[in-house]
Amino acid sequence: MDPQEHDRVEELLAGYALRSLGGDDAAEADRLLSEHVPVCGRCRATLLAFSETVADLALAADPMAPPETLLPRLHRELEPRSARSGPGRWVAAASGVAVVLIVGGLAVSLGFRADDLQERNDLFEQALAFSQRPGADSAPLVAAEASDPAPVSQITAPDEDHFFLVGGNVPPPPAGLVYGIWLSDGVDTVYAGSFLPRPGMTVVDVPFDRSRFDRVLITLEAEGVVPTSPGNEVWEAAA
Amino acid sequence: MTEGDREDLELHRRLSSGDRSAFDELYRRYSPTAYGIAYRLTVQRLLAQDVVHDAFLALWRAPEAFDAARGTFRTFFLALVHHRAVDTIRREERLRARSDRAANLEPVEDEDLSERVVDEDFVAGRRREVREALADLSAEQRQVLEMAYFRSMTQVRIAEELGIPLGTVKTRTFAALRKLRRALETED
Repeated sequence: MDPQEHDRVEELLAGYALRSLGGDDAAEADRLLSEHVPVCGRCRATLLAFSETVADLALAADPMAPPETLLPRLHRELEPRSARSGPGRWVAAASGVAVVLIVGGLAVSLGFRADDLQERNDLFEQALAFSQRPGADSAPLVAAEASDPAPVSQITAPDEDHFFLVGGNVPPPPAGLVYGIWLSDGVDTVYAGSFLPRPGMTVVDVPFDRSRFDRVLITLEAEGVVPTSPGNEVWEAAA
Repeated sequence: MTEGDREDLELHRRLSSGDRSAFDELYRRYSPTAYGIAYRLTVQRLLAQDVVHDAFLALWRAPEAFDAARGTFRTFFLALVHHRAVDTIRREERLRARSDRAANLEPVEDEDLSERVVDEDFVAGRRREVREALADLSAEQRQVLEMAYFRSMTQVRIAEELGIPLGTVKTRTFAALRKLRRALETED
C-alpha cells in the first residue's frame, strides 16, 4: 500500500476511533479492519494510538461527583467472585485425553492438556451443571451469511445472569483478529468481550442475562482494540 | 507508564480476584471523570448514573476485558464509559435536542450540578494536558472533534450541519486526532 493510500486508511481509522463513520465509510472501515489492519503494523499502531487519544477526550469534560447512592447500588449487585470461577473466563483445550460429553444435546469430543486439566475441568463442569438446570436450553449458533450450523452453541438457563458459549474445534480467526461477542436487544448492542479458540474445546462464561437480549453475535474484531461497533458477523443466534 | 497507571494495574489485578476494596478504590478514582463525561453526553443525571453504573458493573463482572498489553486501564475504562454513553444517547432520541448545549466546552452554569470534585493528581495532570492539547487545535479542528465525540454525530451529519464537504470533515478530524496524539505522546 503506498503512502497516499495509507493516509486515506488512517483518515478512516480516525473516524472509526471516534465512532463517527456511517454508511459506505463504516463498511470500508470494517473491510480494512478485517483484511488490512491485521497485517499492517503501521495501521495497527495508528488505530491503537487514535483509540487511546479518543479515550482521553473524556478528560476534557469537568469531573463531577456521582450521587452518594450510586456506590451502595453497585455494592448490592456485586456478586461474590468466589461464587463463580472467573466470570468471562474462557478455556481452550488442546489434544490429550479424549472425553465425550453430552451437553444439552450437543455431543462434543474434548481434549485436555494434562498440565491445566483441573482448571479446564472446573469451567467445563460449571457449563455442564448449568446445562442440567431445570429449563436449561442448548442451541447452536448459525453462520451469519447462511443457515449452516456453527461450531459454537449457547447454553442458557432461566433466571440466570450469565450463560455459556461452548464450541468444539472452533476455527481460529485470521491473524490479528479475535472473535468478539455482542448482545443485541434490538435497540442497543453491548460488547461482552472477546476470545481466541484453540484446538479442542472452547468454553466461554458470558456474564450477562441472556434473556435481556434478542441476539447473540460473534464477530471478527481487531486484536488489541476495544471495538466501537460490531465487526463482520461470523455466527449468530436469535432468542 | 505513570505511577498512577501502575497503581491502576495493581488495583485491577486485585479486583480480578474479587477484592471489593480494589473495586471501591477504582470507583473513587474514576467515578468523577466517568460521571462527568456521561453527564456531558447525556445531559440527564439519571441516564448518566445508569451509564456509570453499567460501566463499573461490567468491569466487576468481566475484568479480563482489560488487557494491560493493549494500553492503560484509564484508556480502557474511559472508552468503555464513552461507548455506554453513546449507546444510551442513540437509544434516547429525545436527548438530541440538548446536544447543542453539550457541545460547548464551557461549564454548564444553569444546571443543578453535582458537587465539583478535585481530581487525583495523576488524573488532574493528564486532564490539564488534554485540555491544553485541545486548545492548541484550530477552531475548525476542535469543532469537528467536539461534534463527533461530545455529540456522537456521524461525519455525514457534521458535514450537513456545518455546510461543508464530507471530505473536509474527514480531513479536519484526521488532522485534529493526529495533532492531539502527537501532543499527548510528547507529554507521556
